[in-house]
Amino acid sequence: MRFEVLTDIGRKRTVNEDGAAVYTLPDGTLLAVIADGMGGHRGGDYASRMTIRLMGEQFMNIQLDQLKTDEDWKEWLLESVFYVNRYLFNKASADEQYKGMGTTLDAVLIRGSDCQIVHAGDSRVYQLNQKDVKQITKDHSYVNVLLENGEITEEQAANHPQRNWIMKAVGSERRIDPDLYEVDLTEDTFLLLCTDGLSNKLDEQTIHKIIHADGTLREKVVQLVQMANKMGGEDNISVILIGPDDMEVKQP
Amino acid sequence: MIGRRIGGRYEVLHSIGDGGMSKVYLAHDVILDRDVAIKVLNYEFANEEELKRRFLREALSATSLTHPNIVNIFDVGEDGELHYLVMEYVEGQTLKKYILEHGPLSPEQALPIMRQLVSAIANAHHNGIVHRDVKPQNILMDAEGNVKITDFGIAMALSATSHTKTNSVIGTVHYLSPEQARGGMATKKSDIYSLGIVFYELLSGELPFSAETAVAIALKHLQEETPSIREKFPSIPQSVENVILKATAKDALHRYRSADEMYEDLLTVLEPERAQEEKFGIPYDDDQTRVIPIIKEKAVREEDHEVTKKMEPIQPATPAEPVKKKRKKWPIFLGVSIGIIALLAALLFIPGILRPKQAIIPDVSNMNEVEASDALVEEGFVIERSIEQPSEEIEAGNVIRTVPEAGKERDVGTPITLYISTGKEKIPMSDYVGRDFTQVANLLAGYDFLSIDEPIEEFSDEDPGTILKQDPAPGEEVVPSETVIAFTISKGKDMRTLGDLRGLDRNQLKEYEKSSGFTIRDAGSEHSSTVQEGHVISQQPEKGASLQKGSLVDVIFSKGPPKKPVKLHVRTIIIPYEPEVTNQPDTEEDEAETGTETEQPKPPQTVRIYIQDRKHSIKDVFVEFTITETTKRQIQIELEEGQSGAYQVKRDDEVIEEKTFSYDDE
Repeated sequence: MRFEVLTDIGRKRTVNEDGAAVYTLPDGTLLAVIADGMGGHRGGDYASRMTIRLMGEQFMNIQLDQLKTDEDWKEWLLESVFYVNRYLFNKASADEQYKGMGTTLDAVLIRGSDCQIVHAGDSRVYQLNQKDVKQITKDHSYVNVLLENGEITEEQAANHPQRNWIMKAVGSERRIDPDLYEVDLTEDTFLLLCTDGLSNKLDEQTIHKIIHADGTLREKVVQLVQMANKMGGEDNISVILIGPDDMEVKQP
Repeated sequence: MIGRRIGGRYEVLHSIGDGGMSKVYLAHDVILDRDVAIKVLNYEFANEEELKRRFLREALSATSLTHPNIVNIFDVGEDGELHYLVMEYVEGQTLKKYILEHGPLSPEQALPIMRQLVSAIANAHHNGIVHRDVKPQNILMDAEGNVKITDFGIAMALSATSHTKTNSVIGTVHYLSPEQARGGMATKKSDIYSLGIVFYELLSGELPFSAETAVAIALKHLQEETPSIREKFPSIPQSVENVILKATAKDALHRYRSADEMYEDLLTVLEPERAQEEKFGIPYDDDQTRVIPIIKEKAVREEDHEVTKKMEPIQPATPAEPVKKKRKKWPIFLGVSIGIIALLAALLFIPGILRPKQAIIPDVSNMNEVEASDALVEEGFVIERSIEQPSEEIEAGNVIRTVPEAGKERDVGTPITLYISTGKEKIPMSDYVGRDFTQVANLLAGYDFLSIDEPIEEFSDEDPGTILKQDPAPGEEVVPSETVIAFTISKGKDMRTLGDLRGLDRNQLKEYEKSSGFTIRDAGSEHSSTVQEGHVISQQPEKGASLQKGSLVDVIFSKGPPKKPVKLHVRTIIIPYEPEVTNQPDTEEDEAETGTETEQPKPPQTVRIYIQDRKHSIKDVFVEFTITETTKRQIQIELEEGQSGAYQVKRDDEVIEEKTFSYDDE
């Protein structure tokens, strides 16, 4: 698998509260983490930064011989999120400066063609094939719940004054109950992790078009971010694009 | 922050609250030398120009509010990065804390609080300001139980940031109206909804809807009926529960029309005759078909479920039926018309084109229903149904608009919905008799009545200002914009000033009785040396007293000057016995001389005494007797002041003594 990570402050904000990173183990196991921090004076920046770092540390310290089945890995993912949640929540409770902080979190674990995703908040993971694009994660946002319950329309959701309210965030409450997803990767699967700085600006068709256009992974992520900035760039924009190994490079 | 001086004049003393988006401090205004509460926003406005403008706009508009139950805003400012609001300092606690400590409250305890809150919100609404975030956390209560609402408009202004916020920092949604939960504009009706939730919380000590996450609570506001407070507290009168149910109706149309209306309801809600009111139910009304555009399957089912228990079932699933009935005269006519059209169409188009022809929908507004239908049918459209609704501009019976609207090009045969005006919207007049005029006038200023006449004042036993009569009468349906309201109010009791009655005689008093309206009562008479007999000596009450018309005034008449005591003149008179000596005196003398004197009979003399005094007249004999010897007699003559008396003593018709004297003689 190849990947590209790009995080951009956007055009309006003075702080980048997003964080994104990809970690790999010697056996090729890969963990991609993206986080969109929020709240408090310094909290947002701290929450996302710490989440990326702590998830990375946990991952790098894995004893591979202890994790065998999918179930073990799932367990590990959840435990890691619980750990980060506790860490941030305690910090927020103890230090006034960090009160009210929290962060979205999407962590994508890839082992071969197995892919497990842990999710909290309104950052997204998309799965893209040649043909179509599919949003895997469900936004834990206020408006999304209302939308799913048929209380509001897509249009009302897009203009809802509380569209920035999210119902689940790492570090904001003592307990967290993240969603878990499993995806089978095929040879032409791209995975896109992004914060709402991107997904609020680009619809699925546009994303699909950019990702399936010619060009390197790097060019694609740059173009995604540029496009979001062109549309206003009010928020921080972060993307991780994971693509299949380039046949031509691999073949020789 | 403590010890810092903000804006050059506010010295921060200590923290008094923390509201997530802001912190509140007690500060001292060194210029005006008073304590103030200063709210410092936790928020960084950097790059949120729009938000900042909005916050300032809302805060400034709230400074215009002056009401005893609204926390005064003195100043809005920024000091470097700091944005702050300076407010009246209210010593006390939030209503939230009060409920936690004292809830649940009885209706008698909760009502004074609610009345203050609703009156404050009504005042803000009259000034065009919607609070948007009414909740006990935004209400302060002092030791006397006075409550004041704070944070008009600003809480929601602040929450509109583009920054993502987590469950832990978003404000409470426990008081959020369904329309706000959906992301719609907060209206005056939204405040009414929140007030209803606050009322529920006061009476139960709990929130009607609770759940783990904000969105789960919001969903309950959208989908679940407000729980019945009487299930938990059966002693609460139905009329009180109805206030909650009406205020928290899901559809804003079913809520109180205004905070004023809610206030009015709260004034009488505890009156015993209202205790047995029917439970509030959503009225089913044809007109409502137009305002319930989409009803979710799920919601329908839930409502039906709920409604089976109520007296007025809502049947949102079949809204078209009653409308159909209204046009029962149409089907035949339409059938014929459509037949003709179809025939025409067939004749015209059969040869070639089978695709539907299009036509422009004519403008039928202001036509009556028949003309409009004709015009539309002529163009080849089909009248699907007519919906009645009030309209300010269009005369009753005429078409307001069509759907699809005039000017649109549509296939021939497209069903058209007509909106028929029922005229201007009518509202029933409330009963204001017995209420205070000023209060009612303020209240009515909120509706668009054509005018409220200067009240006619009448005397009455009611307190001054109390409404005695109203026109239009209670219950009459009126169009406010065409209605002039006339009130007759009490100017209090008919008080008149009592004149000076002293010196008047009975005839004059009769005249005065007529002209003054007082009732004069003869309370007796007394002697007076200064007031002529038969004239008034004194009155009760005194002259100048302010008395109600018809009051009783006691007068005392003079019976002239007091008489001096009767004087008794006692006179002793001696009546000598002097018989007349006739031709036998010698013999008689001899006899006497010879010592046979005792034997010799003496001739009696008759004495008559006449007296003139207060009881007797000199003409009548007072006493008559005979004497045979000189006799002493005492007579009494009683004289009143001014009288003169006399006596006369006759002996054998000869006046032997006579005397006259006056009262003053001794």
